Amino acid sequence: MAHRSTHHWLALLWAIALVFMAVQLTSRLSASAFDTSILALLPQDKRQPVVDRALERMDGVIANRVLLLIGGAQADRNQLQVLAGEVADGLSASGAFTSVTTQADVGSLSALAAVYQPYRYQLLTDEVEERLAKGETEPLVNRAVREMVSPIGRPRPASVVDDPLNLLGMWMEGLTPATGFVPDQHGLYARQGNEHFRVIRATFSGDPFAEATQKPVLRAVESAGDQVRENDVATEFLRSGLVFHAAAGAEQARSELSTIGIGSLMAIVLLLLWHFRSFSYLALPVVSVGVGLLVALSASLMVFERVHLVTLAFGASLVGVSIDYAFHYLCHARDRVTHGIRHILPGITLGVVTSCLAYGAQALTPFPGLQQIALFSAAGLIGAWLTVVLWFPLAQRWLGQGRQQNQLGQWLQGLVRFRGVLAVLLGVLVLVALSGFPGLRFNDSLSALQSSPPDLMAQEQKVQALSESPGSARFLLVEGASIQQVLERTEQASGYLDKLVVDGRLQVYQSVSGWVPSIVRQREYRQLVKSAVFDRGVPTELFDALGMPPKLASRSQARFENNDAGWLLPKDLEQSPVAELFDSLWLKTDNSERPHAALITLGKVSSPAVYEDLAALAGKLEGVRFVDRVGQTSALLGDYRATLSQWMALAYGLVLLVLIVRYGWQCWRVILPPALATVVTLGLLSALGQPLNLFNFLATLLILGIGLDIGIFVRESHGEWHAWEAVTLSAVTSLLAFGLLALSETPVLHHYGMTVLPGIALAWLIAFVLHRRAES
Amino acid sequence: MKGALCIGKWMVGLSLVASLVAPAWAAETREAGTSALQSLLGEQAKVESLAGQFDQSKYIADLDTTLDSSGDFAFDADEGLRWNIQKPVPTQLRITADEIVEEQDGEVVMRMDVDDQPMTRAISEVFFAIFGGNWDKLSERFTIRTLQDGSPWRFELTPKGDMLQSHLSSIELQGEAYLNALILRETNGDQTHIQLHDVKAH
Repeated sequence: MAHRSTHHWLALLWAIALVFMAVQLTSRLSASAFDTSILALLPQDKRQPVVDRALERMDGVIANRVLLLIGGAQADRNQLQVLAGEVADGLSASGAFTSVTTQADVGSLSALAAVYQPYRYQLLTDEVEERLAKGETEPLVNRAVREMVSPIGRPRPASVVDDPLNLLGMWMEGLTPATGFVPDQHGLYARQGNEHFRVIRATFSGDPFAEATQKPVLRAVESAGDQVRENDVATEFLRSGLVFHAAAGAEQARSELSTIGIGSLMAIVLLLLWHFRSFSYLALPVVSVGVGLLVALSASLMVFERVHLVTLAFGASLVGVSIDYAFHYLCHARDRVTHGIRHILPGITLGVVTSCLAYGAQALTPFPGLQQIALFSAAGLIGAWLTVVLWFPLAQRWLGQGRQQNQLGQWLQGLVRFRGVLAVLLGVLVLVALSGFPGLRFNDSLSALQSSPPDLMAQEQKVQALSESPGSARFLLVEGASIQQVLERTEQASGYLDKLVVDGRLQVYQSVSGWVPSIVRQREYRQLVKSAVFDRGVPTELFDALGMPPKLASRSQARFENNDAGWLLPKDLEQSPVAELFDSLWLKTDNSERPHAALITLGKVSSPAVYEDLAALAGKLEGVRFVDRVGQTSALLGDYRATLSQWMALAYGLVLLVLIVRYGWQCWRVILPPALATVVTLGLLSALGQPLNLFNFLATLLILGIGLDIGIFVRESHGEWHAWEAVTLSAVTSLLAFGLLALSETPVLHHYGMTVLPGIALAWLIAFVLHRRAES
Repeated sequence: MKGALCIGKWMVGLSLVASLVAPAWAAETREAGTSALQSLLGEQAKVESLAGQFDQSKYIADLDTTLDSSGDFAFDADEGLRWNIQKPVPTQLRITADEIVEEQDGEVVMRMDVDDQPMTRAISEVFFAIFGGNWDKLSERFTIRTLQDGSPWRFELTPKGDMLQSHLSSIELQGEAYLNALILRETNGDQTHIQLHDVKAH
């Protein structure tokens, strides 16, 4: 009696603890509690706040932008242009966008000219600088004269007296925006061979991942697409923008949830109803796993404050292992007239200890993602275990009593006769897996995990190629103690980049120093203009050649001498038409502690080898680093994979120690099902020619958890059939819940499912073949 | 002409020209009587080739001074326009239906392809329109007002585009048998007078 009341008290205490956890969880739960950025998965010591800021800036620029291209034959450019105008009007009228334009956004460069005008004696293009340095002023004079009298000369932002050689005109011409889109009188277009594309650019407000944002944008673009298809001259309609990928991902998730998700859920419910023939039996596992998830999330947010969504997904699937405890209890309870937990307590306790050891070991790795998964799954398993131990016996009165006709048990017993056949089958699978090992390959590249539909990716790539716009995936990041130091270092890097551009290896790049030279350089330029132009009487030569009065030359000379504009600084561009572009390159500092930093964005390269050169260049220059997001992410996935597989070995070692204590040398019978199943699964995947990645290895954690439970429960219950029923139910529900993900078109889920499916089936099969039932 | 027909890679130049050759298809209604103009203009309306000398005098208001240049030109409906500036520096400009090429001292200093650069196509079209007497085309981009009927005739072209109006006030064309003078007035007060003489036509 005393024992019984202790149990009640403990059950009540657990309920109170859960209420407390639920309350503190609601206070922590907010949108900001979840990380989605891949950067959050980087090990702490590898995190670079300034790089994070740069990447955020890059994302911010592209997140709310949409590019639409209407393509057709070059000969039809006029009709295409009219169509683009109509489509833009339609998009504008839809109200889904904050701006829609077919024009270039350079604004009025005459306003920019006004900003530069006072500094005209200290802004030089490389070509002009070279000529002045060599003293070759004659070609410059000839050019200036020609441009003065030719009907198609270069524009002159400053008068011939203020700027006799039109240095400012040449400087401004060098500011050509880096884009493959070219403006004509009606707006932007691109050309590829005989194809002509009109460009429509639009921006919208709101989170591109939110359905409320996606819907109107997609609807507007869809009707624009119809409009284009109805037109005879337009042959192509290309879309580019993060929102399309986000929407496609959401759509795919929705459709898979309603097919794979609902399908597997229905199958699990039907299986459990078929086996237990009672709704109470269905409710209890849901309660235990639900409590497990609550505890897991609560504990994770308490420790980490922020949890990554990836952690959540994989952690939750590991907490799913805890359904084993519920099944074990229910199958036992149904099979026996005796109630209580005592009989199965050692089994499920050993199960939770080994699983927590195996998953918890990951907490020692330096990777936040693995640490979070470790804590999340361990906390979840313990929560579910406590629920089964403390609450389930109290729910006994709602459970059906006594042994009933049991189909599953009979089938399992019938299957024993085919154990020899199953052993042969297993042997064949092992041989096939062995043959796969020599071909074992890893592929950690991000593109292998790309989940956008191929059609959308093809459109995106074509638009990227046509726009020649600098990608946001790779860039140079320049840091310095002061704004001027950043500019000087950027100029140093630009010197190398210019060579790449001249060699045709890099299409284009954009840097802050292209808009504002450092003071050091401005001083050099001004000195050069003084010595090579004004000290040498070049204005006199020019006005002479033009046949204009000599007094203009002396006026020009006086204007130079009286010019005291000071130095052009980045802040001078803040009010200019290019402020937005300039701003996207300059990382403003929030406080003085941080170093100043700016980006150099890069256009298309001729070959991937250029990136290696850029990385090498960044290594040589102080304060300059090459950020390669694609490479970085792939490397990160590779690091996670390598670390996870090493720590898996440690996890197996720890589990083995516990099992030796309990079972002595017989422990191999318990450890072999998950271990062999994992090895054979990876071998089979290789035999199928599938390269392995992190998500295959994450799935092996699930195989370990379920495989161990199979071995332990069966062993602890001396092979009684209720234990076999429990582990079989657990294996089948896991196959239905996670194995069916193999059907998913989302690569991450597909890889996970492809591993779980054979892995868990094999673990069960191995245990079944191995086990010698203690004859009763 | 400088100023109005300035082009370069630079945007201001581009948009300036862009508006000068404002879209034919965007034009709402044509100004009345281009066919009447055509009959009035007589020979100039169906010129095949035209050649002669020019004297250009550009008044720069800002400096209160005049910049003179001179040279010869030849227009052929098939080959395009050659604009040879002899003074103050020899420069050859060739405007064809395909490209615009500028040479100095026998060296090509600028070459623009009509297909790659629609601005170039636009400039080429305007030159062809003025020298070839294609008033139809011109009326799509300008409002044409008759200043003086008969012979000699004078017409004033006012740009239709907003952007251009801020730079260019008007272009005046004068002629008798053929075009013999262009006067270009810019909003900043600059004025370019191009006088054609010894014009021979075929």
